[in-house]
Amino acid sequence: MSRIIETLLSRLDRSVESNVRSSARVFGRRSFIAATGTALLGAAAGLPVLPFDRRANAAEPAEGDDPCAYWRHCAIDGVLCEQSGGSLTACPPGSSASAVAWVGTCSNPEDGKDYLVSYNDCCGKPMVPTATFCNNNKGERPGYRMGLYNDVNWCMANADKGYHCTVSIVMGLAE
Amino acid sequence: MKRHLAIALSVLAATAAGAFAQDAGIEPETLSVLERIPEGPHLYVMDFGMNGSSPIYVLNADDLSLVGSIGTGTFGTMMMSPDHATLISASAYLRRYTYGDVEAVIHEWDSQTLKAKKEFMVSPKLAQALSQRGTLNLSADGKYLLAQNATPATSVTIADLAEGKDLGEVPTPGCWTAYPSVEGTAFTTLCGDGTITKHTYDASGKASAPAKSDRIFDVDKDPLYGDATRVDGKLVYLSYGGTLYIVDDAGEKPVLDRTVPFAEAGWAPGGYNLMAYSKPANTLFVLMHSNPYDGSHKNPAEEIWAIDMASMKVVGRSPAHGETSISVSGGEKPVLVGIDHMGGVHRYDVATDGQVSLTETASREGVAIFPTMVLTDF
Repeated sequence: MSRIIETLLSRLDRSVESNVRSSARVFGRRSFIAATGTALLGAAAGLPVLPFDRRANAAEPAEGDDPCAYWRHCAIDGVLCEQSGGSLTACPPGSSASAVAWVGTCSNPEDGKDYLVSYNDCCGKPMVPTATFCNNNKGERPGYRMGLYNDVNWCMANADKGYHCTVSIVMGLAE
Repeated sequence: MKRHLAIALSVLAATAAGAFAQDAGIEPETLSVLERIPEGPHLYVMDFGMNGSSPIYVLNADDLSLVGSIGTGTFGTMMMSPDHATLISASAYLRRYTYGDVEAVIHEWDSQTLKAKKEFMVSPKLAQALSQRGTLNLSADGKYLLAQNATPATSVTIADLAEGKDLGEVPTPGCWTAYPSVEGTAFTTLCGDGTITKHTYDASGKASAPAKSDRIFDVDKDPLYGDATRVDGKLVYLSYGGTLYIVDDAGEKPVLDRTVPFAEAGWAPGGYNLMAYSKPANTLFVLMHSNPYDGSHKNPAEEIWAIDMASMKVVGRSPAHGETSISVSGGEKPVLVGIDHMGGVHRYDVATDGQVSLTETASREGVAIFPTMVLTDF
């Protein structure tokens, strides 16, 4: 078990991440997460966001709307990085991206398709109190399905464990 | 240099005080520190800090006025000792506040003087998770402390409370929360494959082979909350959809005793520490909200339902005030207290004449920024 965990916790390279994604597609989200029994690794720090269907980004949050209602935030629980000096997919300068993450399955209203979204925490700086805090929980589960759990500090596997903010990264189609 | 400055300031202060006394013709007041909080019943409200300290605000349980506070580290959680004399907290301290080495600290606080009686470190793997009852517990004999770890691999730290010593960790892969057995040294944990597992450990903190139940719940269709409560020696878990899962964990391995679906159509449980059991009233209180959907399982309460644990029937539905966590006091006249999602605190009298009804007798807004747990000392 410890070797599996060590492997999962190590920073992903492109090939590993690609395998994770293809496994998720082949076995389906639930069985994949059940099989791992632990955290699903999300977008790894320092790596470019993987290509995905451009339609996933079609419905951008409109100005003045509740930012928490943006479709890709369907299982987010945290302060928005886009209001903390970062963006939807980028951690603010000087922070570090969490090495592990939880995932959600969110439906894009533009195309009606479900997408796997990786919620990475950004770490090593204080939380910005003026940034919007969102608490959405679609598909969320307690810590026995750690990869779907959002009530834990996902900076836990980083050297810098202070919680800063959260990004929502579309990883691909859910099915 | 510092000493000279201190002397100079002291002289200046004394002179100034003397001048004021002379001018106003009054005796100077005396600086003091209160020895303890006033006698009477109290509430302890955890204000979850993700950005530094998680303070615990201590309130007069009748009028909800603030009588003191306790400061723990970040991502704090807490539990009250059975005799109500000691509040135990577990929290993390980062060396540079937002980064640096983690010290995970167990504190034993005197619940009346609010001073630390003892502190010791446990594994820095301590879960930095939202405060919840299932992640910090005492063994039946009060000797061992069970603390949930997450790295995110999960395990449970066993600590000797009297010795103030971390004895080691029990791996609990794919499982969450640790509820101590009613007798002996064992704990029960919920697992992501729908089973419930019992781990027995010895005085050195070493665990024997885990005893896994049959599959008890469906994690995809009707998952269980991590929060559970003891009723008549059995563990009562609650599902997102509103079914109680009563588990007998006294034997070698946990066994499902029965399930009790209690929610009407259009209603479901919601919140964090969302159940509270009153033994004298034999009543389980559950936070409930209407029009549930996938993701509403932490929604604030619109009603608080009372379930009679003898008949297993809902015997009362009372209006709520947006609570997300509750507790109920002991004693023949239980008092239910709740914290709402906006940071307010609510106190209810409990009437138990056949039907169970709650009457709000006090409330106070703005007690905490992010309240996650409330406990009582009565």
